[in-house]
Amino acid sequence: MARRADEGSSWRWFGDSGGPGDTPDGPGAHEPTVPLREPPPAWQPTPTRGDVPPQAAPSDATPTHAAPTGDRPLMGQPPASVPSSPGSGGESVPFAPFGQPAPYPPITPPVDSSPSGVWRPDADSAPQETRAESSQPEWSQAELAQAESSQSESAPSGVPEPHPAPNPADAETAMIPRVAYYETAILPKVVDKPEAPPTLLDLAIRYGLKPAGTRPSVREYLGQLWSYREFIAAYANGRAIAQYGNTRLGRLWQVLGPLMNAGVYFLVFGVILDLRRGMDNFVGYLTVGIFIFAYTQQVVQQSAASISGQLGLVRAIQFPRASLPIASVLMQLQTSLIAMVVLGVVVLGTREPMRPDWIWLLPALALQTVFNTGLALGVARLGAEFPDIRQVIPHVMRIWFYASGVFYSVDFILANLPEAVGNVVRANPMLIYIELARYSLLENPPLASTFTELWIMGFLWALVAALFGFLYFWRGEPEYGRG
Amino acid sequence: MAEPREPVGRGPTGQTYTRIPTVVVQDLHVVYRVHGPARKRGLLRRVATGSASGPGREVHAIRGVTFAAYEGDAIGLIGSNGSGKSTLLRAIAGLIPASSGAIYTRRQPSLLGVNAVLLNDLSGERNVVLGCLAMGMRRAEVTPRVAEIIEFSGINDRGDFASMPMRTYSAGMAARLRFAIAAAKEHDVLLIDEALATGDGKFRRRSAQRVQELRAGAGTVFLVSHDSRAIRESCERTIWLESGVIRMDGPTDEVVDAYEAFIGENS
Repeated sequence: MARRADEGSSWRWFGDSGGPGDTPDGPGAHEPTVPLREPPPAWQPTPTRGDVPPQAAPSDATPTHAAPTGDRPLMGQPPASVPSSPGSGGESVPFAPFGQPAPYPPITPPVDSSPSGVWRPDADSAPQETRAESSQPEWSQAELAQAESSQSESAPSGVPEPHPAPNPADAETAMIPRVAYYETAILPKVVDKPEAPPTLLDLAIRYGLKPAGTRPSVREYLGQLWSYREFIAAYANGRAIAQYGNTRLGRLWQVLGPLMNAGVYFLVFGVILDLRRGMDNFVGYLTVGIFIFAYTQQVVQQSAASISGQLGLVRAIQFPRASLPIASVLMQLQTSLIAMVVLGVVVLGTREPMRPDWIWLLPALALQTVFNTGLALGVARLGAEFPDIRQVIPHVMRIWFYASGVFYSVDFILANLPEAVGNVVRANPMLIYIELARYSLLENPPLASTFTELWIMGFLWALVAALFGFLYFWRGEPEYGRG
Repeated sequence: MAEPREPVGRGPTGQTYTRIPTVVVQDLHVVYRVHGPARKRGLLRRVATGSASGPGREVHAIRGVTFAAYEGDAIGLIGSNGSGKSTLLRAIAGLIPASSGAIYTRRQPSLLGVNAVLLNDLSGERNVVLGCLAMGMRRAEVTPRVAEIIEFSGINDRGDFASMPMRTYSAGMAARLRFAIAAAKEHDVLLIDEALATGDGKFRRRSAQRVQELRAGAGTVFLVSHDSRAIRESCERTIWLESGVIRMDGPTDEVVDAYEAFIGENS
């Protein structure tokens, strides 16, 4: 309402149109750009205007209007022409739902049913029913805006106070204890208990009711998650079964999937492009990279849909929502543990000896799991708020894949990079977790960082991701049902 | 209940404050954001103006609802399609945030609706376990009750469906199973969305009995249904919602009669 500063603007706003004849297509033609128009001369406040109910005639002349100048003279017309019943307003107002105004008129505003400043031309194309639904809130917002502006500005004397959103059900819902202060003062005490509470909220507070759908504290939330651990495990397990529910081989695909993946990359990068040169054990090197990266990739992809894809569940049962992304991590952890066994067999098949160092794979996987959990929580909230993100994720993941030295040694390219860029490349968490696994499983892998550096960075990444991911997700907790 | 159970009064002073409230809803508004397909206006223009492309469209589903429910109440919710009944239940259950206004509940209400999606690729048995765990039960509590829940749902009446994936169930079977799962727990406030209408006569009798039991346990039951008979049978108070506002709130017979008259003249 930048126009408020201008004294006459409220006039323009309200009176911006004349009678019903002014807006044959009324609301449909409206644009939020109304205030930008210059008031035509015919538009000066006239004595009769004082009688026009301000909300009676919004709508109208928009840039898209057919003949704006043509109708100007109409604007000065006496208020008699103002539509004052929903019936007459109905013609120019296409949003009247099926027979709705007739059966219970109070629901449509009695004076004006063409909202100002909210209708857009495209609303006409919406199906009748949807339009009816979506139009009403807009109407009341416009109404409120008008009421507000008329109060805050110099409403000309004689203008009836616009009723902000007359509540149709007022009569029936008289039980709403919106008791004004003076009413409580004069209420005879015999009617109710002496301390008749003025509002239901007092009642709620007196009996210790708690507000629904509020966000618990971090500590409470962690406690809730802990008490839902059985659900999280059962849900992860159920999803894992359901995922291959209609395949013949069932969960065998949890093993076959990564194997086939590794086979394809070996074919492309090992055989066709022949990146094997200079590496002792390219098959082992590649397979480790693919399996470790696939863990994070699957987690990200799945958790992006973990809330938005399960809205039915989220809207049906109250449970800590973080259970869902955490369950996706658990489900993928299960898959990747199986994949690690496969990985061990592949690595042995490339004539790597089995060494005590293999045990380092477990803490590396644990760090990656913590990192993935943070990532999953963050992505889950993003996916819930911006469903479009799911379209972007595959591409982001592919870039990350190429940057993480899965099928080439980052060590080789670091030589050609300035040190600052090289540090960024080496700080890539996926590269770190992959190299940790390579260090554990392979005898002489080319590494970009030292073993100690890898552990420190891996730990820090896990910590940072888990902390930020959790806090970010927790902050959105009450909103996930909105969809 | 030591306290007397008066009928719910009407009007600001008619509230029977001697009873203990379980749910208090004060001037509740709920607005949905709808990310639908683009409107007719061109994508380019929407991106350029940035107006309509932003948060999507909004549906103001509940617009200023106020009431209180008390211990032992069974409240029917009626109204035309799209009047906001299910949204109101979800908001009470804390599943959909209120845009403004407040909802106070004594303990976590449980919503039981036909939309309560479990995992369709899993067997009924596994879904029973999963559903119970999701309601916050311990696995140790759940395991001994699985058979009882399946028995109550009656899905095994025609063969061993409990071990079949839920996608093989008929709509009625799935709804019965969901009701059985939700009814397995003692709820302080139970919100039932159309669930009773789906079962056959035998199941309806059983579930009506279960609803009575839940109420006897000092709970409050909300029942959404288009079936006025079900409402008349189980509820003594009824709230009639229309376009997101309360049109009437009072004794069931009165409200349902008025609603039926309204529907009659409307059609």
